[in-house]
Amino acid sequence: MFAGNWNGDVALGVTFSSKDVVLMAGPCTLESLELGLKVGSFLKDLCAKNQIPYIFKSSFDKANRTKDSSPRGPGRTQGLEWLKQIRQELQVPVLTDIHTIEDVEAAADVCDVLQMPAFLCEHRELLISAALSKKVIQIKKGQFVSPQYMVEVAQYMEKCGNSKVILCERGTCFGYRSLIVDYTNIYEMKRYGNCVSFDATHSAQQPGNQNGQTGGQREIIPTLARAALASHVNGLFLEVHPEPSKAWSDAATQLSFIEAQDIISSIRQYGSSSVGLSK
Amino acid sequence: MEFYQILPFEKDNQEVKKNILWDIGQWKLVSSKDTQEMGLFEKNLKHFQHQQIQSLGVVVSSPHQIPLLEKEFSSLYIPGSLSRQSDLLKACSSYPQVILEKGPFMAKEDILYALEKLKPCKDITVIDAGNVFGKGPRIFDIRLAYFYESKHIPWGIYLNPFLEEYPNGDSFEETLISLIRTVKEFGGKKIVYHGHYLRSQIQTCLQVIGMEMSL
Repeated sequence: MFAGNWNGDVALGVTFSSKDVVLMAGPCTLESLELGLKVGSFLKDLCAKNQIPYIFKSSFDKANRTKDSSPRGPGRTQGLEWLKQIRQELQVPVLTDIHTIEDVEAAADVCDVLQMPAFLCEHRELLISAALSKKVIQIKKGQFVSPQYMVEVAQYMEKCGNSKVILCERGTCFGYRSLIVDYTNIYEMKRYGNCVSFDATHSAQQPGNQNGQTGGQREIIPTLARAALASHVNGLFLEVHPEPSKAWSDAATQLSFIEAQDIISSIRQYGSSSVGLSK
Repeated sequence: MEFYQILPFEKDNQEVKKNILWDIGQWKLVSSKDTQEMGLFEKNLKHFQHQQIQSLGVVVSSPHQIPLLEKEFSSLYIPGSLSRQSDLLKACSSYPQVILEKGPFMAKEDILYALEKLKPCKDITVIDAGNVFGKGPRIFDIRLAYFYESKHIPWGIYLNPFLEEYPNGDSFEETLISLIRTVKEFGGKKIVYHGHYLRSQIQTCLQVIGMEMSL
């Protein structure tokens, strides 16, 4: 087994393992089917060229925007329909995030990986619901919780009958408008045999520093990603958009195609994912 | 100033009290040993229906819970980590009174955006639970005390997140006195806490400060 009682399998030949880092990437918000297919095709081809397993990622509902007037996305029904088409057309597993129990039930029919947002990583009933879906669950570590707490969350999921869990490091709050990445968190979460990924784009955020919108430092993302790869993460999470400045969300941190190419091309060079230390 | 205790609903504390914020759904995972039971909010809500006394408040964690409530509680309490969940805040906005815990990731401007989501509720209190600075206990930014006062935002403080570096049983006197006096000085009205061990320490601190009140 790879992590706990999970052999690492996702779908369509993609497997988390101690050998290869899996890329989970796509546009932050699924603004349109065309955008999803464009970004997904680009990333799929790039990953195939670099022999990197790939999972498509995008959100159908950004349910926790800072400002109420910020766009949320296509919504559950339309968004999941698009994700289903993307999966069918590109033949890659898909990942999306869930905010409610209703989201879990609907998304589990379409997606291979369900993602718990960082703000909801403590939500007991949502965790149970996600576990019961029997899908692979990626849980973003809250910016305000410890890695030890996330280990408890993974253990709880296992008790709920689902050990297919990925713990995702995405930065820790350090006062306002600032996140820092403590790479010892990756060590702490891995040491109990957990599968761990790193969200390089969200870790570069500067929350709320653009008049109610999230800013960020795109230029530091390659550094963050490479350090995470050197820390032996099992997965790397990136948000990619053909025109980041026009993106509906996270415009300051989504990567352009060229920027994404630079990072993805270096995955094999900088990291190999050994599952971690002794249990 | 009013003191509110957050209490999980258990069979041993079924007495309906006025100064309790009931966590009837046990929404937050504390450890891997927590119950795996779903629907606790709905199940425990039944106890409060048809009660003669209206309880102070209930902790809510999901939009679907709000329509289930009639007049059992005078306030809804939104936990800090959920303070940006748009659908939850919108669902709560139709309730007469809301207590919004400030997320530990929020700066002062973010509070205003959250309050926007809660319109048209006219009675909103912001409970400050500090900000995260990496690991360790939360920090209370004293500038926020002036911010709340100058913006006429009813406010208060949640004590427990500031005490995490202290092992259970040790005296938190310094921290408690500092926080309570700050809230009082800058016009705050509500102090929230959990844990019976803390209640007696708060009472002692109130005597030290010269505030004669019973919790």
